[in-house]
Amino acid sequence: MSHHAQTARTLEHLRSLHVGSDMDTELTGQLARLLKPDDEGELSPEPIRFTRTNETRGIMVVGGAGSGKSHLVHRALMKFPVLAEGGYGRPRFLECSVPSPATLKSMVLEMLEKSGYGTVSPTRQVWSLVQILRERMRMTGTVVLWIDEAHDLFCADRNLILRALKSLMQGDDAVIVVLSGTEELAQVIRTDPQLQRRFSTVAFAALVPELHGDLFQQIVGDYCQRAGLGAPVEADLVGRVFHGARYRFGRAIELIVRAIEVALHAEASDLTIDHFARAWAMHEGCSADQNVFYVEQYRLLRLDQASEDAPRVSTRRRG
Amino acid sequence: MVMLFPHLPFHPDETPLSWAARSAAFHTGGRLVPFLNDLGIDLWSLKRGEECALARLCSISGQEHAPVARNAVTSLGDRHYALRGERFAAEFLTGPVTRFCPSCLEEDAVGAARPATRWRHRLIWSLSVVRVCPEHQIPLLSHRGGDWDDGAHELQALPWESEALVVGPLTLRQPSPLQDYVVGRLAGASGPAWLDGQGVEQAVRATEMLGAVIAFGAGQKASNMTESMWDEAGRAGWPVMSEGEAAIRTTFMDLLKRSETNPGSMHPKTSYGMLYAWMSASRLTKDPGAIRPLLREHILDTVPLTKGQILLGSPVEAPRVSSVAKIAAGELVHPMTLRNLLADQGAISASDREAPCGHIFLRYDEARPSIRMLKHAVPVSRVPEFLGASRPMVAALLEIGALTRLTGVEAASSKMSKAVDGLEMAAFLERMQVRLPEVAEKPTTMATLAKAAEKGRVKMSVILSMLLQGRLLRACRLAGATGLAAVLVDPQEIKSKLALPRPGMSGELALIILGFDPSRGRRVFCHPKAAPLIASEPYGEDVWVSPAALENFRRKYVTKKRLPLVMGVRPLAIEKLLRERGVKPIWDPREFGAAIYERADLTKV
Repeated sequence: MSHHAQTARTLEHLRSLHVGSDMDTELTGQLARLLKPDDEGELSPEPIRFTRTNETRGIMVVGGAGSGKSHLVHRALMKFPVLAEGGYGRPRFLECSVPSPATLKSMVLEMLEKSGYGTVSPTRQVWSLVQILRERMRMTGTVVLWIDEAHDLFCADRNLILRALKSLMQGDDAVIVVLSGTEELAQVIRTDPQLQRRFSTVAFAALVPELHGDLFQQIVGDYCQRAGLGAPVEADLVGRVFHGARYRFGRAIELIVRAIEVALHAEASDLTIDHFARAWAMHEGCSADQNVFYVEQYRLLRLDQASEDAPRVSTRRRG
Repeated sequence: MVMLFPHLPFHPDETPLSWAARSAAFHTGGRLVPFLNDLGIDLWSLKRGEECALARLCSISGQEHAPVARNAVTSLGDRHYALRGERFAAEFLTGPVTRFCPSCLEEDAVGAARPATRWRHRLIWSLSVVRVCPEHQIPLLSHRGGDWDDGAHELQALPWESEALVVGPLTLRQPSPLQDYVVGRLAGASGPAWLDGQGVEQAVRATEMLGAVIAFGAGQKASNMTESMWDEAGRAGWPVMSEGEAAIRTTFMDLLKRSETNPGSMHPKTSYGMLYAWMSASRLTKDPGAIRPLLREHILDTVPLTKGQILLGSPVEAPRVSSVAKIAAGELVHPMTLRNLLADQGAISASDREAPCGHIFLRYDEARPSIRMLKHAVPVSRVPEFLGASRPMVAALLEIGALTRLTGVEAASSKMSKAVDGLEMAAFLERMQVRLPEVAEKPTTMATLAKAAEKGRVKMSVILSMLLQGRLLRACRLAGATGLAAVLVDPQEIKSKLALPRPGMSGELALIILGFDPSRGRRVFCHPKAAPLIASEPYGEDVWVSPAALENFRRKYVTKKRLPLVMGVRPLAIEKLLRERGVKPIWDPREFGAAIYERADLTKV
């Protein structure tokens, strides 16, 4: 096997690794709370109804960009055997992201396509589409509807979409709705008390060197071992990684894997901070004096200066 | 293309439309048409079995194409369809009526949360001949909503909630053999050869029509038949049709006999009812198949028809049976004249003379000679004109038998006795023309017939018979004149021929030799009822008997007077022998004056 192929395999392996955290247990706990246990105490593929109107509850997973929300939710859903295996050989959850432009109709069409009904007449009314969607979710035994990047939903059709989500959580064939998105999502949901009531929140906290430093030290060591490299020796490396990854969990892991990739391509024997610096520079496209791994006082670097300086968009709803 | 999930497989006994309707219920929980609109398939394209619609439905559904195409009824345009190599018209299908078996649907839906996704509209239910469920043996129910999309046969759209579909307990009944045959034939099985030889629709239609006449009589109208009556008709027609042509002919004959007991005119419709009405309809767009020539042949053979009448689509060129009135109409002759002639010729019985012409039936072929005669009849009063002869000459011709009257002098009450056969006359003239050489000028020794008779003091009939026998070798024909007026004969020749001894003797002498009475004995030359015993030729007023003819007579017959000579026994003994052996003379001796025996009879003695 050539060197390149070996490298690619190693990286593939590293990327597929899952780093367990408290978030996993929290999300699976929340999900288990929403599923009905059967007579033997095992979870069944049926949501618990909370009110007399047979309503279900939903989960909102909020985290900054790159904090690993999608990975977390997918893994949590797949962890439940009752959800992972459905009646027709597909999981019992429906995963879809928000199409662009995000109107109610395009959203429902996207969900229909994901459910296996890809061609729809353009003259169909939205209500009939929603009806078909409900029917299909009932027919395929879908229990969870997961909308990824849900913060993109809230545009012109925001009220309609919220109402549609609410209606999907009511009735005999109601489903659990999981929304994952950035902080923006949490803000919008908070504006609607009816929705807020129905959603519990799982929030990604920012990384703190004091709390997560040791964990990441271990992760770097473990990853290097798997890649056949010597572990880096720099003491403040984790702090620099955290800062460079904007204190986001997913981005930090991604940065480590990229640094290993650089090291493997350079055929180095040890992973050094230089590899991190080059990996970061390649991704951020910054000069050496702005590189978080070279600058002495890296904490003072304002990484997203441009966007922070830009005038803030009014959060007030238009219309 | 995005495929539909989950896959809902096609069932081999359903129609493509049924599968689409089930898919609609399965995937959208809704009706067929919006589902097809989603898929971009036109309902009627699918209904017509168009390839593009089927292919798209199959590829979106991830279904193998062949089984679906096999069950698709394809439209050929102009209300014609095809299924598995069989072609038929729209009437072969149920059209906007949806037929279904409630028990089958019940079985389909067992254990299903949503029955609509399981209900299959079976392919055979869309055939109009299938009226009983072969599995449950109950009559199929029919529904027609009156909506624009009735033709889609969407079971899911039936008003299941309303009372319309509620029926009482259904009586068990076997599927008709005709239905079994059609279902089997579409599945590829073979049936009776005669039916397999024609289109499936022709087979069904003919069986039902024939069966309807058998079961409900010739008075039943097709438009008043209910579905259960058609089913009954199919059952009644099957035993006959499955056996083939011979059985069908026998049935036609039975139907004819059945109708003969009914009073009324002999029209094929009174015997074959709707079967005949169907096949003789002027707007018949579909070929009824092999039964039509069969029935036509049968009607031609048995039912009186008029020449030129349209029978089952084509005019009757040569009717085989007809009434005198209809023959007369077709041949443009007077019916009564024809009737009398036919009676004279013996084609119809003499008692029919008094019957109305419309009530006398006979085979056309038997009337043909009479018709021919009638058409070419020439009145005797006009014959001189035609032959270029004088009236005595015509009388002489009639006398010697060169011309014959259409009927005997006994029946002189009718016109025909005053007419002769024109064709015979034409042949006579033709013979003259050929036999006699033509001369430009009259030779001085020759004379016309009348003149020759006058000069030679010979009877005209004698001259004419000599002429016709070809004995006047010098006779010739004058150019520029016509008929007998042109014939020239030599009086000297006539004289010499009469003087010249001929072999044989006159009739009078022959009778004397044979020992017969001179007047009553003439019967041996000319008998009104039998062939003459002695062949003779006309000879003036008398006849001439050749030695050969006399010898011939002697070889076959013997008179009583000669018996003792022939047998060498005494007359009294002969008398006894004849009495004992029961040998009788051929004619009554008291009437004839002498006893003549056949030699063949005497061998017993």
